[in-house]
Amino acid sequence: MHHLLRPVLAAGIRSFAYHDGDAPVLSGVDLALAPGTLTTVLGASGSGKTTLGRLLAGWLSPGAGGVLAGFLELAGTRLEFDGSAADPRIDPAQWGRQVGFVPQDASAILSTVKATVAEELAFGLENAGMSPADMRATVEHTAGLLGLTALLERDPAWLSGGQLRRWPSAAPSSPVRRCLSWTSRLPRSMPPASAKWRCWCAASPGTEPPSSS
Amino acid sequence: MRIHPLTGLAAAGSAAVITTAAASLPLSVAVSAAALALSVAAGTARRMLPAAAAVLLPLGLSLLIVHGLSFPEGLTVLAQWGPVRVTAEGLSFALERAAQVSAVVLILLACSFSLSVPDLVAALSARGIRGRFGFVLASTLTLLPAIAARAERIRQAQESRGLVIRRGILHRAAAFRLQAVPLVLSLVEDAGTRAAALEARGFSSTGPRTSYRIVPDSPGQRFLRLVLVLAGVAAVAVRLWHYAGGS
Repeated sequence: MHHLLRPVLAAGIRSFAYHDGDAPVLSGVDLALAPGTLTTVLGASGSGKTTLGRLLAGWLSPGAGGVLAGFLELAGTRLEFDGSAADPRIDPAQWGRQVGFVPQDASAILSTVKATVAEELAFGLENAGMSPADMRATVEHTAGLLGLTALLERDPAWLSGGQLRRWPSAAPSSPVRRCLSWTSRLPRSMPPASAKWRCWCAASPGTEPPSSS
Repeated sequence: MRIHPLTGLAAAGSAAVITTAAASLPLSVAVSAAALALSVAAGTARRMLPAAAAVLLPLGLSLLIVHGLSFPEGLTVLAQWGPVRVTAEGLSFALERAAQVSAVVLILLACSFSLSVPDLVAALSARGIRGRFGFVLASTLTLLPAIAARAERIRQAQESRGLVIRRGILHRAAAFRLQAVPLVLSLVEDAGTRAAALEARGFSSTGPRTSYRIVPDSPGQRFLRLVLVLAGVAAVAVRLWHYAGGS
C-alpha cells in the first residue's frame, strides 16, 4: 500500500558533482521514500551512498557543497536545482527538523561544548528557543524512548560508538521528525545493520525507528 | 561558593592586564606564583605545566636572544663577540619581559584549564551573546585537549600496524611527521562534518535562544566582576597617564 502514499522524502538527481571533482558523483538517481518504509541502497565503496545520504539530509547543500541538477522533495515541498545562481537555498536547520542523519563517525555530531548527555540532547531545542520547562520534558521523553535515561548526566564524550549512533534520531528531539538516514552499521536496537546506506521514514511525524527483529 | 565562569574570566583578564600595565618584576613573579598555586589547588597543574612550557620556553628563549644579546642602551658589557654584546641591562630587560609574559600566560592558562566550558557557554548564552561567539570561545578552550586525544588515537592505530616509536627526539620527530598528515586531514574532515551537524541542529538560527544549563550567579560576584574590570581599566589608564606625563 505504501507506494500509493505521497513520498515524504524524494530526490531526482540528474547529476551531482562536488566543486573540486571532475566527474559527477551521482547521476540518474530517482528515489521516493514513502511513510512507514525502510529503504536500503547498496553499492560499492566510493559509489556515492554517503553523498546521497548527506544530500537527502540537508547536510550537503546544493550550491555551497556542489552542483546539483535535479530536485529534492521533503514533505510535499519540491526544490528544483539546475546549478545556477538562482537555485533555491536549503535551510539545514529547517530541513534537519524533519530528516536526521548519522555520519560514519557518529562522534562528529556532538557539539563538544556540552557537559552532559541531557545538555547535548537539548542543544537543538536551545537553538529553537524552547522554554526550559518544555525542554526538560522533551529531553526526558526522548531519552526514555531511546533508552538513554540512565546516561543523561554522563559526559557525552564517554558514550560508546553504539550509543552515539542512536543519537541523531534523538538529538534534535523534533516532534516533526520524519526520516532518519545513515551510512554505517547501527547497533541492534536500530533496524538491521547489514546494508551500507539506509533511510527509514516514519508512518507519522515524531515516531521512533523500529527495533530490529 | 561556586565561581561563576565570567568571574573567573574577569579575574584572569584583569590580572593579565594589570601585570602587563604595571611592568613590575615583583608583581609578575607574584602573579605567576599565584597562578601556579591556583592551578595546583584546582588539580590542573599536571596538564597545565606542559602547555605552559610549550608556550614559554621558546618565547623566553627568543626574548633572551633579542634583548639579552643586542640591547643598544646597555652599558655594562658582560661579554662581547663582534657586534653581539651581552649587557647586564639587556639581560635584566629580557628577564623582566619574560616574567611579565610568563605571568600573563600562566594566569590565562590556569583560568582556561580550570574553567567549566559548558558553564561559560551557558553564561554567555544567558546574556544574549550569540551562540556562535560562545561556541568559538569554548571551542578554542577545548581545542588542544581534542587535538591531543585524536593524535593519541592515530598513534595507537599506527602502532597496531607496526610503527615503533623509539626513544630520542629524532625518532619522535620522525614519528610525528607520520602522524601529522592524518591528524590534520582528520581534523579538517571532522570540522566539515561537525559544521554540518551543528547547522542541522539549528546552530545558525537567528531567533531567540534558550539555555538548558543554569549557572548560579550572585550579586556579590557581579560586583566583584565590575571591580575587576574597573581595576583593569584603571591600570591601563594609569600606565597611559604615566607615559604621557613622562614625555
